[in-house]
Amino acid sequence: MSSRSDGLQVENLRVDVAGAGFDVVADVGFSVAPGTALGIVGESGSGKTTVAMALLGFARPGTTIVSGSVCIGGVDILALDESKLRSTRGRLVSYVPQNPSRALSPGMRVGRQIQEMADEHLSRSAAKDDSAALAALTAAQLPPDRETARRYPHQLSGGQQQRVAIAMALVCEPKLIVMDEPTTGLDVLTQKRLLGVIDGLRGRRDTCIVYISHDLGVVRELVDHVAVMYGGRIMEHAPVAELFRSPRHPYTRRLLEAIPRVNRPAGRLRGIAGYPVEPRNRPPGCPFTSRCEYRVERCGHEMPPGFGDGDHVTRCWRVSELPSLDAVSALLGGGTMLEIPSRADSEPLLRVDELVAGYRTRGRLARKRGTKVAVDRVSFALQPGQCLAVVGESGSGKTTLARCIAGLHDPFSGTIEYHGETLPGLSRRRPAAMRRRIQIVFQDPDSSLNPSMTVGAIIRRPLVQFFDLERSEQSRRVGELLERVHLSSSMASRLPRDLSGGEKQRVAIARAIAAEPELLVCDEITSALDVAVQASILELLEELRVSTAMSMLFVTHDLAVVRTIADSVLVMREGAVRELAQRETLFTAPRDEYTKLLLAAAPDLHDGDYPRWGLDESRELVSTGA
Amino acid sequence: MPVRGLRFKASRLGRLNLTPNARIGVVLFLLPVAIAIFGPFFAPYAPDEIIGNAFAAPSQHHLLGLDFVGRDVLSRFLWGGRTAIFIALIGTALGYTLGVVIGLLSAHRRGWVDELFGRLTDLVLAFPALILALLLLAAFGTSIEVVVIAIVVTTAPGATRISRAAALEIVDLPYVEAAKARGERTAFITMREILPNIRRPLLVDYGLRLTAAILLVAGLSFLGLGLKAPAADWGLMIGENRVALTVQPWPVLVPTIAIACLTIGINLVLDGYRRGGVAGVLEDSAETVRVV
Repeated sequence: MSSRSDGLQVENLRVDVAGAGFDVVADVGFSVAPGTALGIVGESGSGKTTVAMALLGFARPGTTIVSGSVCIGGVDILALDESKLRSTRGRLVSYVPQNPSRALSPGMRVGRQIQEMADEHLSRSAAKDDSAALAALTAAQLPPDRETARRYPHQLSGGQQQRVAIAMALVCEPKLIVMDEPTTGLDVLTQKRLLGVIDGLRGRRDTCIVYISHDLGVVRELVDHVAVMYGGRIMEHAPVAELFRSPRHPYTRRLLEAIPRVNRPAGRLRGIAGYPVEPRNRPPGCPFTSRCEYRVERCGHEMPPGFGDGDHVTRCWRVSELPSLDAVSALLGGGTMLEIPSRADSEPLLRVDELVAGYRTRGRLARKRGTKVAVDRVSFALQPGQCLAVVGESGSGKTTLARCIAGLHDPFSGTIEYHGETLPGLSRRRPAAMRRRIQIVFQDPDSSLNPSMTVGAIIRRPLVQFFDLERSEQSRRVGELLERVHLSSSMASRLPRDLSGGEKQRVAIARAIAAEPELLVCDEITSALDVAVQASILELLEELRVSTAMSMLFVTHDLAVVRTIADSVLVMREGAVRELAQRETLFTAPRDEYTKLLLAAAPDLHDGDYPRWGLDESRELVSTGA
Repeated sequence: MPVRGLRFKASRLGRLNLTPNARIGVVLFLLPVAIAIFGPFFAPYAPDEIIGNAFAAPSQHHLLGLDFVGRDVLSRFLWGGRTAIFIALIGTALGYTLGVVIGLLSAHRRGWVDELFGRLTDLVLAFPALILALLLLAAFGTSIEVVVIAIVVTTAPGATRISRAAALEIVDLPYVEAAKARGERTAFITMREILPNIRRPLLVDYGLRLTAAILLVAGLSFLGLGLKAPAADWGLMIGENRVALTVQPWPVLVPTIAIACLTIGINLVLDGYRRGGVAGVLEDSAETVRVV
């Protein structure tokens, strides 16, 4: 049916760190038939973006493509020289970047930017009118009119910008479209819409799609085949339904176990212990060896070949001996979440009443001055030891609410009571004891830590601030805190730039719990992290909650995460509370229309997918009056 | 303990990646500085000793000839760097410290503090540096103290501007917010959380201000408003002897070259440091590539 020259064939691809003698990715080979889509999935550092770049004939600075071939429609683009490559790129292959706001030129109308692609690559007659551009807009589900084309990027929302980027990728009708995490950073509803757009591209115009993601859950609906990468190798390659129903590689299984599920009562998430392997110290054998629970002697020395039939290939020595999936599922599902007894009768730890907060818009002219309300008359109570999740899209005011509670934002009106005591708006007006009891962890791990302080100095600071301790005692506690967040105490002397995103977030958590808080405010703390890292951070929080009995205010846009961690949920939209309910009530019987919309939009796995947690194993609903 | 602290500070300046240009810069910069510091020990005559005819040509005994009243040019040159460089260093250091403190406070506190110092900065920056210096000298008389004050006044507003702008990019970052939420003092937030992270642009800017100050001191001396007449000073030498440039060029040429070396040298070193910053970033990205 499809001849050898159609679609995409990658063979034996290897990319090295220039001059260092070790590879970033090696042994990578796959093919994608025209009209189908392949998902490449892996943690950050797995080499998936390196492969994506190689598909464009491009190696990131510091790396070189050493060997292999990338044939698109019969043309090996790795064999082309620079100028030939440039002229063929647009028609053979195009790229949809992760961050459209940076990929679009801010000073150019979007229609012009799409047209520019057409002018560059299409024959003159085809490019003369704007029909190609309009067709691309239609395919990206943007209104194909001049109105849209005349907009500047800043006049579009994040989702629309990404659709413009997709239109740009489509306009030359390339044979291959590479998408690098195009929905990362978008909220659920926007993501849902965008995934619909991408799904619509499948099977059209002999185009094949390679979709890169760290989240197996997202690719479930989008692709026909999945390649799971780890340590620069493809570990498992299978048709999508097959992979989700019966994953073979231990790494794939762990990835699936790390995905929080919206449509399932909480099973406990399992992060993957240890850290992704670096190219420098990768063992000669299977790169997953050090983190694999099924490893044997042989794994570390010898890279396994691909086992299995033509369609489902797994690179694991022990593929035939691994325990059955149902056995593992039962083990996982049975444990479920740790129950934290709620004391419904006790007085609430935190009571927020009719809180209104926002920003004053400044302007030289009186008519431009005014206020923008971000949090509109929000009231709720949080019982000691409980975790309340605040859920909403970006712009819903959830972060402003969290900042008010942490004392970083002065509300316009309303009260925040802590143990019955009214809290002043800003932290500097709060007594030190109060500041100690409420700690906050931020979203972006990269900017949460002072880049010129060592990890030890960062964690020591709250100890200096809130406790009267000897210096040696401080150092001892720093080491202890690092170990509590599962980092090595030797990390105290490192600078934040030497740490991975997940490690940085652990340090930020260590800094927060150093103050021994009663309430931990978590502002989207896992949204910048990979699924597997997210699972391990959630696991850590759960553990800390049990051991310290602290309460949590967990701000997130991800409902699936909520189901694994929260006791009750507050849904916000445009500053106002839409629904406040116990977790299971909210997930099984949402009352508010908007909540239903959010629930429907959250990507999820299918019922038959691994791990198969049975409904009968669900925990009893917690019935407490909030 | 003090040794540890010192090492810590040194590592904070980052590594100085010396590009070839920066190497030239170091030499160009160190040459006049060395002359200024060690020159007087090698001077064959006292700088204010009249030993011959005005504008005598170079000879075996007077390698660079004599100046407009018959003093040895070489000796005056060897003596003449100290004061100007010293004044410029003291002035810019004081002015820069003042400016950075105000800038960091403005960025951290905002509100009326920012408003007040912002307008004040605008006011001072509205005058060209030389005019401002002349104004001060006219009002308070010509003395070294007033020259230093003039440098402080002309340096501080620029330092305020750049440190405020650099700090504004940082004050809203989560790690500063975390410090605020902990209730850290203003001094800790500005000095430990903000300042170390804007050191690179500040250091580069400081060098430029130092250059400007050296030129300002030289310019004032040239106009006869800096150091008093019998004193040996490069700027003064240029001014005093410029009438006979065609007859006896050395007393003008040599100090001019020295000042040029100094300023060009500083600029080349800073340029290297700035690029070193870029190289540092590249290094970081190579690091991530390696991790990937």
